[in-house]
Amino acid sequence: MLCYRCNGTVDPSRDTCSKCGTDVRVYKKIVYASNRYYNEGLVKAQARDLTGARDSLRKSLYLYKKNTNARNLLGLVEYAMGESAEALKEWVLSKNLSTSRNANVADRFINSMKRNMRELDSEGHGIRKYNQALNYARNGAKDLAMIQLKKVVSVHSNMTKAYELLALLYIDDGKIEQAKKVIAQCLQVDRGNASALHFMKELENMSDRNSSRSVGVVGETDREQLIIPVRFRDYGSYLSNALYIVLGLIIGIAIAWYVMVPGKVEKEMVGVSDEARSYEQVISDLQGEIAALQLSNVNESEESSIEESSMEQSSEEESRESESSAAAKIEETFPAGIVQTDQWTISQDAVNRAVSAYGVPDYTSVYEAFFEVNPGMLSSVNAEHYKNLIIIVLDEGVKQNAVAQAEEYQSAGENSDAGRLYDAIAMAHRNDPELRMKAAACYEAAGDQETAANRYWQVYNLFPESEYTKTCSEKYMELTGKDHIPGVPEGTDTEALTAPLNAEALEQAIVEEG
Amino acid sequence: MIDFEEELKKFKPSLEIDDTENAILSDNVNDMVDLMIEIMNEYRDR
Repeated sequence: MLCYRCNGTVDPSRDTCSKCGTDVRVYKKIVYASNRYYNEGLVKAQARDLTGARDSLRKSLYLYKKNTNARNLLGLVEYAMGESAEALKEWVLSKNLSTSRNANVADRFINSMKRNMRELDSEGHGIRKYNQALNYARNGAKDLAMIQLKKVVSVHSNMTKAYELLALLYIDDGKIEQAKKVIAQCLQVDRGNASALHFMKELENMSDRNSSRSVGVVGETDREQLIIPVRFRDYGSYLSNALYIVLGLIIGIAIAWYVMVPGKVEKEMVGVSDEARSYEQVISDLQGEIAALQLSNVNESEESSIEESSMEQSSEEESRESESSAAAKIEETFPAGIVQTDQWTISQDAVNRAVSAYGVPDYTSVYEAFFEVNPGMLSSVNAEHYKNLIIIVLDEGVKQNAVAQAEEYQSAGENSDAGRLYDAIAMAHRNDPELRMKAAACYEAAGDQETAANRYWQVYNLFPESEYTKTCSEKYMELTGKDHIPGVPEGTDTEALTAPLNAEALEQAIVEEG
Repeated sequence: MIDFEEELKKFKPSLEIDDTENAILSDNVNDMVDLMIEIMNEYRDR
């Protein structure tokens, strides 16, 4: 023990410091109490009661913040509970507050974290996802929160907070068995987790209440309580027996009906579904053709509208012809009603893809699928998902995460994927010229000069007041070999094209269909 | 019975790795020893 005044060594058997003479009686008591809590925390940590250990170690540090052992152990417990940032904080504080001249084990922990930066990034990512899920839960987007948390616990199996929140969401959703499973997983990591134990107890009480039966009346005789069985009515009469037989026959017939009839129906349905499957194959092939033609039209029309106007017109006519021939093929085979159902199917599928992609996360697919949705053709369930997707695609935090993912693609040399992702983000954040500039740079690095030139052209014409105008003009002319950069067609409303998307306006477009 | 909203209020966001530096710098909690020193100094000043 070191003196709090002069840092000299204090003899445990003396009440004053041998160096400066300070009275250390109270100080010693505080340090001993701190050590007692440390010992308690150590025993609990060894028994995997991490919550109990954390509480004891925090008490130890409230008494004596320079208790290096307690702080190092607290960091370790936080790390075991998936709180890497808290663990790192405790070890750094331990290193700085330590008064001991011996080597501090916190150095080893910090160096170990520095050596495994990839793992640290992954844990940081998991914490961010947990915080996002908590936000969703608070905002009522429970489905999205559950998707996020399932992803977190599958990758970070020791993050107890994520288990607790996921269990709560399951319980609120009525999924009791899944909640119990998650709680059991949490208790495997942290045996003394208060929330998990509380939830488990409540679930057990609920199941006890559901399965309990009345055992009868409690009576009292001479200070003793007796449980008297409930008297059952006597069904000895012939009429009652006959009634039971008839009931049994009815139940038997019903069981036979439900077992045998579905088999027959299924056989008939197999033939019908085979035919439907072949028709669906034809439809999806033709839809692929239409989608490819539409995509090439969107990319080409922006740039070539002035200089190649005649060529564009002819290409548009050709594509219109091939589109109409593709649509005609569908209409020859099927009535027009089924073509409209495809739009419906595409919208439902797009919403589901966006939600699934967000769980990965695959931000390119999230943004692209979002803009494939026709908000006027959504089921009531998918309309709710779409509203949550609006929050996601317009969210600045999600944008930053998506940009970070694009930067990872770039670092890995996947410039095409990076460019595509920047394009996807720019669809939602239309007023940010930097995204299109980054997309252009990525396409250029990937060797796709045509697309890169198109993006420079977009920034030049849509953001004439930006700092990128000169660069865009030079880059465009360099990539295309032209001596000037064309403007937009007359009458084009550039402000509307770059106005930020409005969440309310997007929601108003939703029309629920059944 | 479990009240979802009440239980949800107990959940706090986790500290993120990027915010560790600020958390360390703002961690200036006094312990019992600091309190003891403060009391002794006050007593001495009187």
